[in-house]
Parts: sequence; structure tokens; C-alpha cells
Amino acid sequence: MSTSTLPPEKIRALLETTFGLQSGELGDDTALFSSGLLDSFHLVEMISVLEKASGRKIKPGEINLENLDTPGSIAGFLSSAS
Amino acid sequence: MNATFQVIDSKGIAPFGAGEWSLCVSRLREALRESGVQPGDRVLAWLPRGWEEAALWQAAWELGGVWVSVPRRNTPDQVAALLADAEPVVAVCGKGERTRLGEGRWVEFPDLVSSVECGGNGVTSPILTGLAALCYTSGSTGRPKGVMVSHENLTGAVCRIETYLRHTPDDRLLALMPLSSPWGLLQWLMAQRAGAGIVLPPPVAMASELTRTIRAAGVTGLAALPPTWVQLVDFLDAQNETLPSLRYVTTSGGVIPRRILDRFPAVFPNAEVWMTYGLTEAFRTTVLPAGEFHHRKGSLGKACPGVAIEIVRPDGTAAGPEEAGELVHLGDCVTRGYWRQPEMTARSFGVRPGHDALFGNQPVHYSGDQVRRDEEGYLWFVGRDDELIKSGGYRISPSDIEEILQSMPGVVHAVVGGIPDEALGQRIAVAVELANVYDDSLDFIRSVLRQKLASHQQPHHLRIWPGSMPLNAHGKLNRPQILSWLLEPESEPSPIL
Repeated sequence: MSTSTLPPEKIRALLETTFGLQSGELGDDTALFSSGLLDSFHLVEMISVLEKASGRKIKPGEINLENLDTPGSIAGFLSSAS
Repeated sequence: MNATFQVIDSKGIAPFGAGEWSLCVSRLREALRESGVQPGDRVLAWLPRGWEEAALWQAAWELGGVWVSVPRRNTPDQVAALLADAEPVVAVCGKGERTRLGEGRWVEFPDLVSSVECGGNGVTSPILTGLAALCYTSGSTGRPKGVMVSHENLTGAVCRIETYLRHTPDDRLLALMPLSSPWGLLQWLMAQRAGAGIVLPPPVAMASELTRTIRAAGVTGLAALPPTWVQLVDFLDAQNETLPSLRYVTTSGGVIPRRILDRFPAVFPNAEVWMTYGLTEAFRTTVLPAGEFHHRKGSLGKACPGVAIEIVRPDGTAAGPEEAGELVHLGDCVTRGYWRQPEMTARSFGVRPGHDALFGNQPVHYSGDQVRRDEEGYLWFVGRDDELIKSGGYRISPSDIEEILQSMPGVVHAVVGGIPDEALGQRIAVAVELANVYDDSLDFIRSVLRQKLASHQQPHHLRIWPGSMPLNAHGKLNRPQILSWLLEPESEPSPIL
């Protein structure tokens, strides 16, 4: 699988589709988990969806709020070299 | 409540000073009293995880109220169904949530608090007899099942769990399990009885966050479901870290992969492991002694002292050693049935014809779990009687999901099954036959399911059966054939962005 760049707007769209949210409901800085919008079951699905979209495996040590709590931080985290 | 009991937040800070917790509970009690709560009335809450929910629960018990915590994962549709079923006198939600919930007379928690001018004398004395709570086990709209849990059920469970966990005032339990389940209520009850600390969980149960909280608050005891154990162990191993403050870990809710159990001694170096079994309908009833963990990993253990169980053949006789049979709970550990559902209650709680020779006329509950006893009397899970799916520690009824699918226009048939999954136990797989297949058929189905089902009920796989589904000789759907098709790996391309 090839790695593709995923800017925040692509992440937002992907999450909105995956979790049945309204288009445009998420901002780059919307708190996903710490706000309670998504829960630990959503987390499992999110990891799977992000791995498929980015072509990159997400390691257990990388699953934290710093990397995954907002679309902006997800984009930043995925684009950094693994 | 023991005087040294304290509430600790996920950062390790104790937000309530001496006596302040009781003050808070007594104040909420007065607010509920003014709302008209009387013994036997239901007090219902749909609140984010936090001290507010626990305080409201305890305030409800002060007035003999029946506690109903709606699982946070439930969608507004499911919450409405539960509300209609439980008919509470008071329904409490979080700040700003009333509009999201739509119909129903909801009061937001901050408004409830400020509704009583001054009230609450700081003295608490809960009424601990009769019906304590309704714990709902099913989340699908139209068929919520509220298990009627009595105070005697809970007190009995506290006593038998304490014979092995033995909490002291030095303990700090993590309140990870929700207050919609008996296990969640028991964490608080045990902490209060022992005068220990109860630690509130982080906003999301990510392994990294749980680790942070366990360290910050010095958590000594952790009760959790299989997905938490898988994520936590993998995380700690990846970080090359351990959680030495834990003096025990206790598990339930399904099968934990062997490779994860094998790592427990490494990542929880000071912890005894107590594996348990139970259902909402009869909870915390068996335990595997910590000393047996090493060479009997995966066993359900034995019935706790004071718990009566039988392993039963379909004809009502007791199964022999090493023979699989249905696990049936008897006597005091059995809850009182499903709230206002006499037919559903009779199905699982009534002694079956021909079984009275073994059980007599006492409370029973048929678990639907096939188990066997080994030569030394230890129990092992064999399988389920029915097609109930166990995913992430939750029970999911395929027929509940199938009904929702079949009610959608264009869906001719739907079959739901479980696919083995290491972390979750089972993933949920759905096969549908559609009258017409459009480009957006799957998207449409998923969007409806998002509205009607909770997050843990969402199918992991949604596939369109090519053509017409096969029927068997009786003209009914050939479910085994469709289910084995679902087990085959999909050859779908990954989504392209």
C-alpha cells in the first residue's frame, strides 16, 4: 500500500463518513475523545480506518490523546515519519 | 459508608474534602425529594462518566429510589426507548444535552443541583432493601430488558467478592465499569464499605490514558473487560512499561486471548489475577483463585461460597464430569427478572418443565452458556446455546439487528452473525439481500444503523449477498450457509481517498 498525504480536511471527511456525522460537523480542533463525542469502541474502528487510508500501521504506543484527539493532530501524527 | 472513603479524580486529586461527598449526596437527595421521588420510583440518568452520576445514584437510594443508568453509548432513539420502558419520575442528563435528546421530560444535572436552595444536612442513610436498580442489557430500540437488581443481590455480591479481594483503606479502585452494570455499582459499594478510595476514570478508556490515571492516582485494583486488557497489555509491552501499583486485577465479560493472559505477570508484576464470570442476571458468581491462574488460565473457576449453580442437560438432569451442559444459577444470587416483561422473564428465569426435580421451586436463571466441569471441579466455557454475539464484553442479539435491517425499505433479508476476533471476542458481520442494489445502498444502511444502534452494536462487516438468499427445505432462510459465507474473508478494495 502506498502512503498518501492526509491533510486535516481529508481526515475530517473520513471521520464524518465513518461515524455518520454531518458533513462539516468537525473542525480541525474538535476534541473527539476527550469531549466524549467518540468512545473506546469508536477508537478501534478509527484505528482500522486510519491505517487503511494512510497505508501505515499505528502502533499501540502511538494511540494516545496527543496524536488522535483532533483531526488536526491526527493529520500531523500520520504525516510524521514512522 | 466508612469514614476514610474518598473520591479521587483521574489526575489523582481528591476534589471532595472531609464530609463534602455526603453533603453533595444529601443535597441531591433534597432535590430529588422535591421532584417527588418516593420509594420504588425510578431515577434515571444519562450522564457522562464522572462523580455527578455516582452522587445522583446514591441520592436516589437515600429515598428508596430505583437507580437506572442509561448506557452512555446509547443513541437518542435507544435512550427514548429505555425512558419509555422504565418510566422514571426524574430523568437527568448532562449540561446542554436536553435538545439532543428530544422528547421526554429531562432535567440537566446543574439545574437539578441549583433547584434546591440549601438542603442536605450532610447526613446520609440509604434505604438498602428492595429493588436497587434496573440494569439494561440490550440496547436495540423497541426491546430494552431492564434486569431488576435487588439490594440483597448487591450485598451478597459484595460479601462474596470481598472474601477474595479483601479491600482495605489503603486500596484505590478504578471505577472503570459503568454504573449501568452491577459490576460498576459494586466498585463503589466495595470502596465505601472498606473506606478505600474510588478513582474516576479518564474521559476515554484509551490504554495510554488509563496508564496515566493508574499511575497518577496510585490505583491498586483494576476490574475491566477483555478489550481493555488487550489494549492495555499491548500498550505496556510496546512501551516496555509496567503498572506496579496494582495489587490485583480482576477480569470478566468473555474470553481474553491466551497471549495476553500470559503477559499479565510481566506487566502487572505485583498483581494477583482473579478471573471471574457472571451475567447481569446473576452476577459475580464464580471465581478462579489467584493461585490457580498460572496453570488454569481461561477457566471460569468455581462457584463462589454461597452461590449455587448447576450444569444441566436439556432433560433436566445434572451433567457429569467433563460433560457440557447449560450453566444455571439458583437462589439468592439470581436477580428478580426483567422489568415489566413477564414473558421474557419466564423464558430465562422460570424453572423449565421436567427440571423441577433438580431445582425445586426456587429462583433460577438459565444462562444460555454451555460449560463443563473438569476433574477437579473447575468450570470451562464451551460455547453459547444460541446465536448471541459477545463483542467487546457486550451481548448483542443478532435478531435485534436483523429486525432493524428488515424494517428498512429495500432490504429483503438480513442475517447477522459473529466472526472470531482476537481483541473483541467476536466481530459483528451482516449479510443483506436487497431488492435493488444502488451505489449508496451500503452507506444508507450504515447511516440508519448509526442512528438506531449503539457504538458497540455497529456491524464491522456489511455485505450484500449476491442474488437471492438460499432457503432450506422448510422454506426458511438457510442461515448456516449464509453465516459460513460471512466467515470467508472479504475481497473488498480499501477505501481510496
